[in-house]
Amino acid sequence: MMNNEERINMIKERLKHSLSPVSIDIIDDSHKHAGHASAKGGGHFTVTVVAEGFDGKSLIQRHRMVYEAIGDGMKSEIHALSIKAKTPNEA
Amino acid sequence: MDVLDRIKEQVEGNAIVIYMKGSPQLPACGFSSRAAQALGACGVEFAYVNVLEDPEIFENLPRYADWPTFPQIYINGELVGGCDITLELYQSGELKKMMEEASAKA
Repeated sequence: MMNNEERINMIKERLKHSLSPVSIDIIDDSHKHAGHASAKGGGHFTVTVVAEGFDGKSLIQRHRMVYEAIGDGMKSEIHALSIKAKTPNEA
Repeated sequence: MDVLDRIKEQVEGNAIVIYMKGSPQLPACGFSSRAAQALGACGVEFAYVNVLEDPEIFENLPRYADWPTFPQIYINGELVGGCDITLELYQSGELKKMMEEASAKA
């Protein structure tokens, strides 16, 4: 298992690679949820991504793009991810 | 019945259904709690499935609609999204509209 700093770096790298975002902001919320039922390790994060690629896409399509970019990291290292996906015009 | 068929029956048999950790009255996770609250605030009846009480659904729901996290909200058999999307749709007033339309059709 990674620590949360490594997880944040992983999310950042993968999003950069897949979405070429204008900006990425990741907040570690893990402390808010420590020990709650079924948390099983893995971090809680809020990620705000601003990317041109979200233009013309529905919310569900944008969130799928973020999940796909993170890939297998969603399965083991991330327990919960709150996503804000905006275009530069909306940000 | 195969678990994916069971899920299909649930999402198609209910106009609005949320798969969540816990119940709307006793949620076991903040994300599930907030999503269920938004649904409840729209004043339209909805179904829920407590994934913590059904390990088979807990394990397999993510591959049903290829969505990795809980909660998951389905309207008219279609995945609407998780907690963030549900809250955004609630704040824009769209969720209430979607729920009212789905429930009128059912």
